Amino acid sequence: MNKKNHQLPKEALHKKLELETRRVFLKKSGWGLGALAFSAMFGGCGLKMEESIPTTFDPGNPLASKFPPFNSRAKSVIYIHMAGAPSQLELFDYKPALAKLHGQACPESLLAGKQFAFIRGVPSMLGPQAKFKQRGESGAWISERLPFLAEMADDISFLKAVHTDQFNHAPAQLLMHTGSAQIGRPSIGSWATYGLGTDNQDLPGFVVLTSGGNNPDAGKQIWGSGFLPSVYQGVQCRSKGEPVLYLNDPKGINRDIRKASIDAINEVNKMTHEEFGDPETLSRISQYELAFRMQTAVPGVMDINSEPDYIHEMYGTEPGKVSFANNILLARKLVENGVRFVQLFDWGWDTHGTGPGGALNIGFIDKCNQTDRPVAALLKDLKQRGLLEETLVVWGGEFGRTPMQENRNGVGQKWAGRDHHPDAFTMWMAGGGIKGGISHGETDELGYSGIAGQQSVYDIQATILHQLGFDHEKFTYEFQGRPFRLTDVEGEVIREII
Amino acid sequence: MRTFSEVEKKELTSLKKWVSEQSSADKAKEMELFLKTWQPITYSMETDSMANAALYDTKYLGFRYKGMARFRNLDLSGKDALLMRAFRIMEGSRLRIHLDEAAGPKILDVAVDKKKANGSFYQFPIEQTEGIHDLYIYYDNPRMASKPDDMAFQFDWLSFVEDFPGKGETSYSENEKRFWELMQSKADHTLIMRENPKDKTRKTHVFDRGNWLVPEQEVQPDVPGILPDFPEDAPRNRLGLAEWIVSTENPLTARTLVNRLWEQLFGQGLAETLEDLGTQGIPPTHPELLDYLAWNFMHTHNWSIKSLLKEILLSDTYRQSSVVGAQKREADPYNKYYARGSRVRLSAEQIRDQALAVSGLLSKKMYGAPVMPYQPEGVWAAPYNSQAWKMSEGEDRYRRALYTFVKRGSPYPAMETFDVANREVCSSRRIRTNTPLQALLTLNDPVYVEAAQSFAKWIESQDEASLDEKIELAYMRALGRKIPAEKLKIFSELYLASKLNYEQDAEGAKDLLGEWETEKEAHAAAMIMMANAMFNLDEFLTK
Repeated sequence: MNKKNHQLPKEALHKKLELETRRVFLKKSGWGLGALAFSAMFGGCGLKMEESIPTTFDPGNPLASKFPPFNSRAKSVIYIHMAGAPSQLELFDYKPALAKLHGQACPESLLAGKQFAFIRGVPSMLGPQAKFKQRGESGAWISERLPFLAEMADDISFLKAVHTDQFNHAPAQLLMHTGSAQIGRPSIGSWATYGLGTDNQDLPGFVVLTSGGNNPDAGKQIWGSGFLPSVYQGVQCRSKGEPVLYLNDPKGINRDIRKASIDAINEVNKMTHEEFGDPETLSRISQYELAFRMQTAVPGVMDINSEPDYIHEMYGTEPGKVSFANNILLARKLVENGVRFVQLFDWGWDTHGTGPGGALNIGFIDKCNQTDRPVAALLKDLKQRGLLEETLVVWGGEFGRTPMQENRNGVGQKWAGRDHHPDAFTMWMAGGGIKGGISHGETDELGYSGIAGQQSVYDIQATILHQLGFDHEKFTYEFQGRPFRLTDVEGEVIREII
Repeated sequence: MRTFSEVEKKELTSLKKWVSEQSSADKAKEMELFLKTWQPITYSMETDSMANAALYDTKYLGFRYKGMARFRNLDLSGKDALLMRAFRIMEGSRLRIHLDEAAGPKILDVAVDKKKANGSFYQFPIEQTEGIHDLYIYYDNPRMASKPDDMAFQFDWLSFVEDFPGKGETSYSENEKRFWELMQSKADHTLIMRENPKDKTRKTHVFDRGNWLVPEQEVQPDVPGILPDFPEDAPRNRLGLAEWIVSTENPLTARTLVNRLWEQLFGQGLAETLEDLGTQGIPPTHPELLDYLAWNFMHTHNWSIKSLLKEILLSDTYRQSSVVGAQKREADPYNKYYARGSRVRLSAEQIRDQALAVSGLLSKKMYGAPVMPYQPEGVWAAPYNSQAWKMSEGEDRYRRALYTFVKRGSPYPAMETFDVANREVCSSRRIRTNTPLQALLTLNDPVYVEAAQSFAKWIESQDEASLDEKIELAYMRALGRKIPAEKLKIFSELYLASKLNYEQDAEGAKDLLGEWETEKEAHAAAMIMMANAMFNLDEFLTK
């Protein structure tokens, strides 16, 4: 590409589209036509669709729904992140050999050249702290901790040998969600809404719901927009207080008065537009109308009270509480209403065994009990509504846990716990074009390293983008002199599960 | 960098004087540096080998019963004592240090007595030795034999120091005491960067094809050959680099800054890609103008931003009206010819400051610690950290946006909504968006409601009698121009509708008025609605 041609799409990305005619055209045309329009306007840059992703970013309507460059299987994503990293060895990765080694000193060969967050010296092996069974027709191994999910085994693709290269929470969470262990890159949800906009303009396009009493360690950066325009960052919705910040009218202002004031503002703004002809003013008028509609639409969706009893029974939800179950039900309502990307974080899975709350045979069981039923209900519910086909559900932590008992500071511990382990862990995906009943990848007999079907964090990201209709290698954003992508220079779509 | 109080500064001055007299001016300087920075030190996590010990919380070395840790390559030349900062010390603790091997020459063997410490600081005399050595530090405490898994001694850094000078002189103990008091002072501190001392600087090599496993020739600090030369007399460190950056031989710095200031005023840079004035960027539309301003910025304005801004602001180009006919707009949609004034949405900070200023709430207080203005509950998040968002009192709530407390993991939401840089990476350019969340913010954020209350109050405090006069005055104050008749009509209708509403909804009026006590509640509430609307006008949010 010669220099001049290279600059033009960049300018198009950054510049306000000030000509109304052009803006209206792009708004109507959506993604594919928008791309055509660009190449037409810029006199044949030689950009073929397969070669670049000239996403039309319109600052006046940045979340307008767009078509992806390829056929997509998933319209929306619900990503359930168990923050702290749940133990695969108590949930999905059944290792009878590990039970036999329980209590014995860890073989030197497993420790050579390895670095752990807390294990020091030679730890002892820790056998599985749960009983396993094969489930469904596919025979997927799922432990007694997840009896509800076990019933959905045939709808799920398990990835049994995922690996990352980070063994501390914040960088590993960042890597999982932004493709970089350092802060500053856009999160998956930001990429998704940047590329696709969202279907329901009355709701945020990228919603974040947190539970478990804490936000994830990596802070809000893991749903941040990085170098993408800030409009694409996740909007944290709360089940207590205002569902979205500043959504509620101030005390003393009722709906009629708010309507009258927005009408007055927009009337004056129309005159302003007549005077200056600035298309940005027109956008502002529509944003104020939208804001008014959001004030009704968001609380409507965020209110789970209106759901029938059998749904509450199914999810185990209790309206009015801040809980994972409530968030899961909200996630279903949000995608049903056209939200593009719902990101859940549930805190409290960091089972080091330094106390009862983090013990694999105490606190961990509680966490499983709190989350198993709603997650299974979500799959079942999406399925019965015909939404599972177009909704990709992703489940996982930021890394896995060691087959060894943690020995923090090199001394023994009272509670059963496992240290952080980046080399092998289980994640799963369901819906949105993902095959059901697949167990892809395998770990060695101790669950320590992947031996087949190893998949990196980037592969997960590539697969999510693929299901949304993007080639992760071509979905880029120009920043600091080079195009950036979610998967950096890595990642391959996991063909075995799609 | 620790900042001492005025009293402590005086103490430091007399201490330095005394050390100068007893030893040398250089030693006095070294001591001052140590007191101000607690550097140079060796962190306990620099240990490369340990037994019966661990980096507790992955940071601070803690010894257990018969603990040992090794530190490599420490320069002991001319040093008389070991200084360390230690805590959680069990009764009966002893430390022993051998040189170069586990049973090498012993330079220290001492009981750790908490009573002889200065706060957390412990200093023990060592056998003097010359040169660079490996240190084997042993911990022993017979009382811990029954609890071998418990940590018994923890420290976070050590340093080898010289004896306090002037031993035997009359005011020795007085000055030594001064030293330890300053060491322990709970001074405010700021993180700064300093060049490493010589024994800690590393060699830098060219890597063969970027492979760090294949180091080629050693290189010294310099700048790329294609750019102007490094000033000859400048030191080869960050100070030298700074001198190079602002050298008048280097036009890039002035061009970059001028281009950025232009962008703030006109909404776009003379070269649009602020972040890249190189070959990958978009060339400037007016290269001669950029050069003219850049040259003047260095030579005429002498790097004074204020003086440069004045020149630009007084130019005919800047002072044009932004009203434009359809024809001209079509001919130059991006205003690249600057034939009209630019219209740009204000920045996050400006939007807040402007509303506070117009309403009369803005505090003009300058400098000092950051403040915590109103933030909705449940937004502030600091896992593993007890730091709380405690709303500032009085005028500190209304300081300029610049003073708002910033935390990367939990940014101030009102600013985020208006595209403030997220501070995760260096942001070279903010992109302005236009979203419904912005509308919700200026409509509903209690900061803007309070500003509307205050603005309405101000209008009421003026002499204007009629409603029209009040609206005219408000519009003039908010927008600096006379209100056209049609807009006046819209505002007066909004006022009347609101007043009617609040006459029937006394409760609502009270809620909206907050702490404002007045007899004409419906009228006052309607004025607040009018003010709130004015703060949401496109004209108000746009320059």
